[in-house]
Amino acid sequence: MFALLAASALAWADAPANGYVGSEACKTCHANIWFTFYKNPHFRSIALGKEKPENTGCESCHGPAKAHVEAHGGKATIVAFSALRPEAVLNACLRCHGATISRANIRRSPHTENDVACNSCHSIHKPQTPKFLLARTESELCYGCHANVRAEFSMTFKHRVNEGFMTCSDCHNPHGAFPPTWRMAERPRMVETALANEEPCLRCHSDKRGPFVYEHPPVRVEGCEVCHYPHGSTNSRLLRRPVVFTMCLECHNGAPPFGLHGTGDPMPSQTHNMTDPRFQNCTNCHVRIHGSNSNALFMR
Amino acid sequence: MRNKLQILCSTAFLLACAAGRAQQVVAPTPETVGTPRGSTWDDYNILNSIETGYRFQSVNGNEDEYRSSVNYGDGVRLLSGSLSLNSKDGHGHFFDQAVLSVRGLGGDPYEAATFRIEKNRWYQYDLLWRQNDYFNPGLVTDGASGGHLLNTTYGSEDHDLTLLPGSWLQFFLGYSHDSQTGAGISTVPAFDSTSVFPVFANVRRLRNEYRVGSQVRFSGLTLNWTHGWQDFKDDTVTQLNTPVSAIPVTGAELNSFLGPQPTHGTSPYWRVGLLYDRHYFNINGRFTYTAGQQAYLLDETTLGVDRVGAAANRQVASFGGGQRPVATGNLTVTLLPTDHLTIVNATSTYNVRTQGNSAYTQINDGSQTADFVFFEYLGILTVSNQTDVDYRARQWLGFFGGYDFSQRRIRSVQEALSPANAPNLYDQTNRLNAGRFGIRLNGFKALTFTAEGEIGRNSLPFAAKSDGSYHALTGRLRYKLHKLDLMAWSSADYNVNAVALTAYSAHARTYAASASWTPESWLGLDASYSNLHLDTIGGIAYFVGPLSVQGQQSYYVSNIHSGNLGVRFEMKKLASLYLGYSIVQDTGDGRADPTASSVGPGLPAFQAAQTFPLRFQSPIARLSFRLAEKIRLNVGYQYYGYREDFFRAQGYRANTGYTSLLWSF
Repeated sequence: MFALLAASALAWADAPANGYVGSEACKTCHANIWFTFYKNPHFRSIALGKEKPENTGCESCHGPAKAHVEAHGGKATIVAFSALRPEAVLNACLRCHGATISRANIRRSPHTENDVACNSCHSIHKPQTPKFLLARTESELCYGCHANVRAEFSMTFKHRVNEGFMTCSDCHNPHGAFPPTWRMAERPRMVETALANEEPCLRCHSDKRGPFVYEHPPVRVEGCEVCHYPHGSTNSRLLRRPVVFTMCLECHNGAPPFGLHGTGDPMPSQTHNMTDPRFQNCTNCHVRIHGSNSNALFMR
Repeated sequence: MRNKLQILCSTAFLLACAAGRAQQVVAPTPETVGTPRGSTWDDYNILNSIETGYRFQSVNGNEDEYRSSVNYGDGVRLLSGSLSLNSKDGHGHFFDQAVLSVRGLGGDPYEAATFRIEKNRWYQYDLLWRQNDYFNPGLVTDGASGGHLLNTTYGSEDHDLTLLPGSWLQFFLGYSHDSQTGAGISTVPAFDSTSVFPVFANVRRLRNEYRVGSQVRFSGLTLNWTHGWQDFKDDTVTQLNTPVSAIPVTGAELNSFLGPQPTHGTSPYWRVGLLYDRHYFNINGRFTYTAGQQAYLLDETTLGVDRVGAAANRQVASFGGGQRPVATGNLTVTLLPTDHLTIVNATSTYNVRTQGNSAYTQINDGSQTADFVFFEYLGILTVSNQTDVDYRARQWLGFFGGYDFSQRRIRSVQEALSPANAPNLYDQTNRLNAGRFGIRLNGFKALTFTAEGEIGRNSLPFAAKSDGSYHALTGRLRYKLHKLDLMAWSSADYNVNAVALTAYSAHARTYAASASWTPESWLGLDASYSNLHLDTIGGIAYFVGPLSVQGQQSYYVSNIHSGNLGVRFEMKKLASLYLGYSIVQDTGDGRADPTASSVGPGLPAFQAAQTFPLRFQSPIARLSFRLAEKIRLNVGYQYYGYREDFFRAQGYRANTGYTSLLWSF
């Protein structure tokens, strides 16, 4: 113990006088953290050797450590993130990470409103993922609070998050997103956008993007969610109903003022005898339901 | 004895809670192998692991359904692999960090690989490659080509290179490539106005995206721009191998069909982001412009028999294209006048104009008819403004809320069949006013509580299912202390969209609870339970033969109970055992007979669609032995059982498993 304190004091002896002692002083007591710190992205500030003391190594996050060393440790003498309020954690991290466009809306994000600070998901010294320093795998982190979403991804038909094919951040920005311009108000929240501030579905399902000569208006006006549950569903197409025809009929009932014309979405014509099973699967014929270039009824 | 009973009761209680964060698929094995410190090579630290093994599966019941939802097969796999090299002093010769991880290679339906290599301050390259195979059971019909029993394969890759990362001036280069191949379906209306023929297709879709950009930071301002080009190609081949009858049966038959329908499009785009961040003030924005266009060609030849039994043929040539320029803008201003108060105002605009033309020529048994669609237009202009306030009154008490106003104008021009006819113009504007309020309590160190409510009114919802008159309530209670994390969550989301002639309402309620407990390093337990309830009523109108049926309602009730449980035991670092169980059960509205409903239309199809009881469960067990410091032997088993109460033929029971070696060198 005496040797440790002596080594710590020696390292600190060469430190600048503004309270910063340099990361060398920290490794004496926190050897377990220091030993693997070169794998940490924050090690760059040390490796480059050009940053100011307040932006270098341990003290860039934990503040000047002179008092901490003099007191031989203790949470009261250093910035200990485990003892910080969520807003203080956020401010500390944004000091360096605030200049990133993808985190531009973090202060207005629902995560911030609900006191979910950076260290709720990120573990700087004990990360479980090599990228992004996450405390657990991404889906495990999200499921920790969003148990209902886990239930949706446990459905028979779902986007393959549990299988490791996708991650939550393929569609969501956990740091807060710009309001979804393709919808009204702020619903849905924290959704990352595709090419032209469109819904993220179009990043992969680019064949649905068009533009088409004949657009199915709800796709463009309300977005994919008006017909689909993006997380999981009892329908293999992730539809909001287990069968397609009731979902179509609930809009195509001819009742004003809905629809593009304000006169109601047109109800099926007389040829659609609903007692015939062939008419109970609308997309068997209206195969280009998201939009067509050559048929106004989306049949080719 | 009493202690044992208490332990059993405690364990049973926790098991009954069902599981939160456990991994749901049995392989790959999540255990680590080798020394955590890795090995050293030329000033680099190396960590690596490879898991190779054999997957097996056995399916009883509807195998097509299994292939569409789970789809794990037999064979040797590279279940997972990881390699990381880190420069120990941050001054590597060519790179400072390289990280590679792969999953499911060699035939798994979910394959992925990520790779990152970077040198501090010089470059950073990221690769993400993914491939997903699944089966489309909807495309299996009598007489269909055997080719349509193929999996659909969706592949995706993203390459991103950043030059001078972390510096005040950075450059970005990127390339993305998506492809989709597999089975598809198309429809051919031919010979008369009521005969429609299903035709199967081999889907071939490609997307390529190229992007270049840079970011500059000066005086607290970050300016980021990206210019990209996204090209899309759909060269799906539509084919007919065997004659098909019309749907519905009219007597017409399609004997031969040839119909290439290539579609090619491009979407060049600009995206600019700006960010200015100061202690009391933050302003950021994003502005995009995308000039999308798509061209298509249809050259279709059909031969067959019409509804009266006469030989018929038809040729269709159709060509044209669509354009969709999209301009969007977001501007957010954040004020932080004190440490306790955050005020945010966000303005968004979205302006999309879709327009196109389509020339259509049909040659029918020598007599030529032609249609021209001169103009199609759909324009949407949305302007939104939101103000959010977050006030931390005390350390243990906070309030947040906001007000949103959105206005959306939708204009459309419908087709004019000849230049002499005036096009039909439609114009509508709707406004949404929404407010929300929330409270945050965290007075006790380990306990936090948040509650939030939102209410919104839309003056003219676009569709019956759109948000009309809605309100949502959410509450969350969490207790997190050291090795114990308990959470309870509840939400209700009600939407009413009733108008004079029809009604629509949706009630969604969700209750969820989760627990995570790691009392010892050798024991961990995660459990969760969710109840997702949804009931909706929607007005419908339809035909039964020649009779129009009006004023009826479609009902749908879903009552999903979902539970997950995971328990992990570590046995003296020699072996680890993982046991898990996942179940999703939709109990529907409780009926046993699909056509025994007393509400809604009496047609059996409508009755059976009112609820959809099913059960999907998946117990899992995995055992991993440590044979040596750098080798583990793993065996695992996972059962998938799927049952639809009303459609038993859809069910399946699948036994899957694997055995593997996880090793490090």
